[in-house]
Amino acid sequence: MSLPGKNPIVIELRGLGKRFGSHWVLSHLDLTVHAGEVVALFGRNGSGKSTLLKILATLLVPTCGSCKILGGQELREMRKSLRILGHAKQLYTGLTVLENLQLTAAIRGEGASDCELSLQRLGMYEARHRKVAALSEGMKKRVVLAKLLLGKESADLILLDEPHPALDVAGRKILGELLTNWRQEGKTILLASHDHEQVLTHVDRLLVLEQGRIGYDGPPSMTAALAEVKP
Amino acid sequence: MKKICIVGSIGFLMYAQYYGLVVAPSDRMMGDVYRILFVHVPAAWMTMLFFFFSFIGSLLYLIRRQPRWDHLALATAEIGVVTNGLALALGSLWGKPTWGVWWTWDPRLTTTALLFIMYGGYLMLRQLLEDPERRAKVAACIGLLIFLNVPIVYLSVKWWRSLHQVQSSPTTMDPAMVIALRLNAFALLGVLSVILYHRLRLARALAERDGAESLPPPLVASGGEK
Amino acid sequence: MNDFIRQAWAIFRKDVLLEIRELRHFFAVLLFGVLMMLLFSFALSVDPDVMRKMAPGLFWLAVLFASLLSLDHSFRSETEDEQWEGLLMAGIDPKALYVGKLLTNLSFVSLLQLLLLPLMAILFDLALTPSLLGVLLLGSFGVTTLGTLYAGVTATFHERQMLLPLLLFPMLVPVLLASVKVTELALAHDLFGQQMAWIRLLFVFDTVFFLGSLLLAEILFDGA
Repeated sequence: MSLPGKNPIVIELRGLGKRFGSHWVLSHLDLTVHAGEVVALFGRNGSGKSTLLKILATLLVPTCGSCKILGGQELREMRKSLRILGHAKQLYTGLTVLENLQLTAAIRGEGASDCELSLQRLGMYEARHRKVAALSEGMKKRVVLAKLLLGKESADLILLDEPHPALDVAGRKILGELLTNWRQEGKTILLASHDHEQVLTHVDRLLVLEQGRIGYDGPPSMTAALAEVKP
Repeated sequence: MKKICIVGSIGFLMYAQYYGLVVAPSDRMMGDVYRILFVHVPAAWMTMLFFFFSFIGSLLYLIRRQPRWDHLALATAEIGVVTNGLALALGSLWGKPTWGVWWTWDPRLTTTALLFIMYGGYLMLRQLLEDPERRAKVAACIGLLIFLNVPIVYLSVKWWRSLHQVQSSPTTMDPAMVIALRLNAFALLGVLSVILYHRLRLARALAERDGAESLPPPLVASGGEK
Repeated sequence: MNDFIRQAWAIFRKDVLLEIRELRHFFAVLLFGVLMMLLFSFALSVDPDVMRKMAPGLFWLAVLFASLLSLDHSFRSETEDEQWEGLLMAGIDPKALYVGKLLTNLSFVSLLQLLLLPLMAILFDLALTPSLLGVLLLGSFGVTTLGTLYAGVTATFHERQMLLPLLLFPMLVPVLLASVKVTELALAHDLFGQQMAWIRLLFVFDTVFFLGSLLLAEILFDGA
């Protein structure tokens, strides 16, 4: 159920391409995403999903084409309303869970109470004084999710790059709840994933990347998702 | 036209060298050895001039963000490093017969040596940066800082130790020597300008090649691939 | 402005916390500094008078090399797991990141000097004067202001251990000369009052390159 074009445009890509060395990771991308859309991004490893998300997060500059996000505000303003969950955990392993969150909150200029709330939300409150280095992978990933939740009112565009694999069962359940919540709150979400069943129930639209190009763009359907898996 | 420039500038340089080696009289104190100055001094002047251009290139790149200013900064820094090395080597050769040592910790000499290392590092840094835009950005910043530092380095070395450094001013020199020196300076400038022109052309061509590569493979070709 | 100070402070606080929890790193650098001073002395002379004359130079060389280790280390925590990107996405002002890192490095190097100074006095039989402290601060500010910027630029390079000193040390020649001279003069009670000129030079260097680095950090520390 793609939303009608009445909502403001959040992502607008025109002829976007990205090259690393002589290899084109992305090319000829045209894409429009409106506010409130929840989009799943499928594609094999190396199809350019992560690169696309990094460009959308303003962390990479496209080699060619145009990329307009959130109406093209000033960079630092724009980043305040962007959240990205990437492959890297970006945690300081020498700090405790709470200190990690407090650092992010302090840089954003938000109160410390927000940190404890989002830790509770992810069931990490009891572990808040433990060093990140001492946590299991699944717990670390939950801390990353908790960081994502900080200042969630200000987040307009949420980019998730394969959030499922490192999460434990409980963590996946929480992520599912978060997705449902965000969707109700009208956030725009791009979710790159391999877990087709987990994701398809949560999204309005499916995008399949094939060798850096859009291979499918339409309503979420299992057949489209499966077609992508075929060699 | 290009050929005329190349031949003309080299011819001029040869004439200037002939003037310096033959027409200008030998020095009363130093005999013919001093003639090394007709290469050494112009080379030192050109070093400063080209590093100054490199600074301008860096500055303009940061303001305008156009690749051509980055090309200017690169080309002039490369030429400057070459003349810098030439000036250092010849200065050392000149130092032996005149001062009795290959090297002295004279402020100008020491500053020149440090410049050589700083711009060497600058060129090495450029080599290590792959992404053209990031390279231009970082190099411009480093180039700016280096140039800012030149007067401070010079002053500090001067205060640190000022050894018998006699600045030869044109008034104490034979007029023919002055003419020879100026001729050689202009001749070297001419040759280096021609080199600069071609180096810039090369830089532009390389960027254009990259630019051509920066167009993604056409859609049609990939359709055939599948 | 408030944002700026809060962000710089948050970075500084985080780095200090990490350093305190990994104190062995500080001690390793300190030991390295001590080792440098010993090695330089072994290599140069056995005559106590000559040694005393060379002490300021040896001291500053040891400080310079030890600082290199700490500068190189200072951005490690931001590049291990793309933490730098995380900071940017949290909306950090690159200039605040620079200032926060500068504060950490400055504290680190100053503390290092404070501990190496008595050692110099003992090894070379020198009487310390309190005016030395001011020199130390001006000198270490000079080293770290450019050092932090260059360390940030080279942080992502494989070759950074070679590149950082190659780019940084020639730039620091005025700081080295001035610091050594001022230390020498202070130890000799500055008979001819030459110290001021050198202090002014240090001051100019520190100001020029602090402002320059601050401006350029906006461009250099912004990723992409």
